Amino acid sequence: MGVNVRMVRLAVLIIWAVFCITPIFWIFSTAFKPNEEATKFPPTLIPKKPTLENFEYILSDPILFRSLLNSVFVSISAAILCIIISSLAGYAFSRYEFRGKKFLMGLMLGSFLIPPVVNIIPLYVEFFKLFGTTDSLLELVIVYQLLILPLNVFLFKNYFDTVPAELEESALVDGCSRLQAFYKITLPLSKPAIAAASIFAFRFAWDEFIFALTFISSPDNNVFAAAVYNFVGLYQVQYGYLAAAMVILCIPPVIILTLFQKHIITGLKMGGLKG
Amino acid sequence: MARLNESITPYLLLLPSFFVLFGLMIVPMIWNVYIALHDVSITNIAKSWKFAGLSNFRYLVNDEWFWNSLLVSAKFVGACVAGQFLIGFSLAYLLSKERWSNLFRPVFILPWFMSIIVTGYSWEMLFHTRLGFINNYLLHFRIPWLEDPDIAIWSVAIANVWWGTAFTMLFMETSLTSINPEILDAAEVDGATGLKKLRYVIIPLIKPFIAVNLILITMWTVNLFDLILVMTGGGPLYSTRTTSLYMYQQAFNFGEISLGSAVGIVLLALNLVLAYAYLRASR
Amino acid sequence: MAEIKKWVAFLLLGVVVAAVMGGCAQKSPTTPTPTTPPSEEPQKTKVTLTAYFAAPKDRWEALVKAAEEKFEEEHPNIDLEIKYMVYPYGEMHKKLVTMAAANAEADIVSIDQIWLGEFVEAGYIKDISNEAKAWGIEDKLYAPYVKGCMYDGNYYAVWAWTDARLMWYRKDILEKANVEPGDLKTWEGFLKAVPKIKDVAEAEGMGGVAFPGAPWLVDWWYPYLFENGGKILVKTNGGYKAGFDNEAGIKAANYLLEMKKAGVEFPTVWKWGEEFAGGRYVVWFGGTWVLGKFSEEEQANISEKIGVMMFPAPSGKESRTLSGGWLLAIPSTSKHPDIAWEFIKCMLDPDVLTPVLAEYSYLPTQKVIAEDSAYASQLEEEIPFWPVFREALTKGAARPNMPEYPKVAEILYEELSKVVYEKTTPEDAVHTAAEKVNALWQG
Repeated sequence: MGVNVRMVRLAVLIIWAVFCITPIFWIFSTAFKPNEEATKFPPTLIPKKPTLENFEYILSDPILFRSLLNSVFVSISAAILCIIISSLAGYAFSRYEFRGKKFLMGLMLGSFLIPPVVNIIPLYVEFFKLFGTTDSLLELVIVYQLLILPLNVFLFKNYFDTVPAELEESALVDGCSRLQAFYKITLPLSKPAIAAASIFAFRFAWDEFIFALTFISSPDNNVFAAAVYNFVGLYQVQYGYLAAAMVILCIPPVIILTLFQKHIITGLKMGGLKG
Repeated sequence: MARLNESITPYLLLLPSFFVLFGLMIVPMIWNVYIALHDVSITNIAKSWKFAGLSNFRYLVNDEWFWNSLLVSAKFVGACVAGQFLIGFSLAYLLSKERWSNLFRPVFILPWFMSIIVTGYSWEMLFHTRLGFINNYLLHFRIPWLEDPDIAIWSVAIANVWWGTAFTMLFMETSLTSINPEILDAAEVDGATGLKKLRYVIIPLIKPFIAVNLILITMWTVNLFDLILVMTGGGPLYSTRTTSLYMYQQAFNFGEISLGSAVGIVLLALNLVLAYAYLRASR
Repeated sequence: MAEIKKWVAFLLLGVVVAAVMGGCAQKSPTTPTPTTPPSEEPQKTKVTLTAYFAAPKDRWEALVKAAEEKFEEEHPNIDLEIKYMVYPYGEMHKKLVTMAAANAEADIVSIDQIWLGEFVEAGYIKDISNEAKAWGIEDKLYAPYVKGCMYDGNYYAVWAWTDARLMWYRKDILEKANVEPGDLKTWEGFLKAVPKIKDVAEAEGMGGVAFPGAPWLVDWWYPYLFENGGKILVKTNGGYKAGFDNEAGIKAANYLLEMKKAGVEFPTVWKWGEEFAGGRYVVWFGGTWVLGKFSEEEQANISEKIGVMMFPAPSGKESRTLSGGWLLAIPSTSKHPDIAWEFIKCMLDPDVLTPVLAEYSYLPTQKVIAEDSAYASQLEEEIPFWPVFREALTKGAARPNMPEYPKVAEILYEELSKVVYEKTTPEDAVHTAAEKVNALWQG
């Protein structure tokens, strides 16, 4: 009786697991096939002639390669900037009581709810008027803050709540300024939070494509996700190349997921679910 | 924990974040209204804008494709939210009882970690009528997944459900762990097991979580359009052109920025309503 | 910090790996180094031109390189460097729009024929009437293409090459289905053949007949409109009005419906002929560019397996087609318009252009290339279906180029799609479209 229920449960979970993996498996499989085999009928699950030529093609294209480097740059910069800004904010919310705190927290939370893409049009106009052009990686780094700031602010706040304030108190007594205490004591103790926050920041910035597509017009400034989207039009796609680009695009997130799974789940639960 | 009451410091610490927030969220919202009331197109952004009153909104009311987009959005959001929630909740429930849950969980989260581009194109490779995996491998007949105006929107919804269910699953898992095990034991003693327990004990206890979850994913799906852009670009015959995609395309494909802003305001209003509902439900 | 270190290390490793792989295979084709002869006179004026072209990239690489050499010959005292960037079709248009808005400097751009009016009205394109006339544009190009270079009576660009839309087919499957290519010449014959082809195709795991659905449905519909004597737009006093709001338009729209009913597929995900080259369809409506989708080996003996012919036409009427292609223009913001024009002339020189056309199977707009045996023979040799392509050249018509045209195309696309998806009747579609089109020029 119990066995039967377990069987059913396992069956359902396995079906969904297969469902989850199939698209990813398919692009990995296609990425290693030569283009002719990729669109051949009947299609092959395991490549008959496994090859790295698709990856070579993608990485040897100067525009795509450049955009890959740009993606790394933008993602890391956005993550660093975000951690600085959000940890300060999280600290403020965690350690201080002040007028308007509830209101500001609500505002921060509310902004998380509304996806930035809704504002893409006025943002485009705003940046165009401010900087004269939207075609800049630095502007992307700024815009990406919007994506992750609220989540990370709450992540830091919730984490700092669990760090005893007494440790900072003793540092203050010893003559540190508040900022020094923050920097020397609280932050080092918050490694899990920093890890989770940087993971989220990096991941959202890496995958982002619609802002890059809209803002960037010169191939030199593009990020990888948007460059691949343009690529689809540029070379009137062959599935082998496209699949290889996909694989490259999903390698960092997959690595991050495998290595930092626990962090991510705890981070999500801390940041997104409490708030 | 002693909390501090120093006057300026907290505000200083918060300044960068709120500066970003203000500049990137609040200011644009106000701009949106301003732009929608003027005549801005991509050719005259840098020049002066003529005041246009409500003419952009009048255009929308008269455009059959605007109303079509609302219908499409309703279909899409309905299917996605239903799919993500039902499946996500079921998965959370099943995982809570399964011994090997830690094996399954990362696999289930994997899709959510894929970028939209990967999601869109990999599903396009599955759905392509002639070259795709599904039609060639799994079926003996061909379903025009992305090419039939009546089917396309549901296909895109499938891709979105694949991608987004993980969030609901994690959210619901957390909510399930928040239930005091003693209550569950007490219920079982009273004779409620399995589905009965689920229906009469568990669900009522996590209602607020469910409400929050539903509102969140609704909000995110209403605003989503990059997946659709990648998979179908709005076609065939605009059958996958949700209101959010309509907004984007008006502004950036046709250059009609004010028209896009006008649609943006409609979306924004919708979002604010949902945000308000969220804040009420999470009290 | 261990976690972070691990992460950073991994990232750096990934970047290093990618850099090494990419570095090994790196090439930089977009800025070819100009070859300066070693001991020439040191007195060369250096000029750099920036250009923006539309994808695909390979044809431009070949063309620019050959043109540079020609330019070097003709202007030895100028050290010319061309810096160009290639954009996908949609991005090309967006780029031009943003450049026009920002008055960005550029020297040469490629424009799709239908955009000419839009950018001239935006003030972004230089009037080259004098240069063009001096070059002899009216004698050099076939009449339809000369017209396409003009807007409001002046010349603004030169139509560099064109393509034509044709019907491609697989000979072996047609044989199996007992269909002669000649059967497909008439509208009625075509409709009869479709189900037969489809049955055989399905048995072989292929699709039958495919006609473009989105997004190019309109461009492929125009030949049917032309065959019946219809026009896209006709000039009136106040602007233009629909030229298809008549029997010609209705017949053409109705034919779409008949095709759908006979079993023609209208794919909306469009890979420009890769599907046909990959053996997915038996009959494929595609452009002359489909040839390039076959691999080198396949192209060698292609006429054994593949055939191409003009669109079906109603019996008694002549088959027509639509011509596309790219124009070369000089933005008004260029600081070196004279040199840009000289370079454009080099790009258009038959000695320079013909090999590129032959290699990438594009069609010439210049009479001399199509007719003079010195050049035409190159095309004949390298383009397997040259006779059919040549015929299409003379039977093609171009689309209008005024700024309102994209809206016209969009309206037609919407209404015709409704016909294909059986959501409206051909008559209603044509009338509604005409109403909306006419409204574009009223107030």
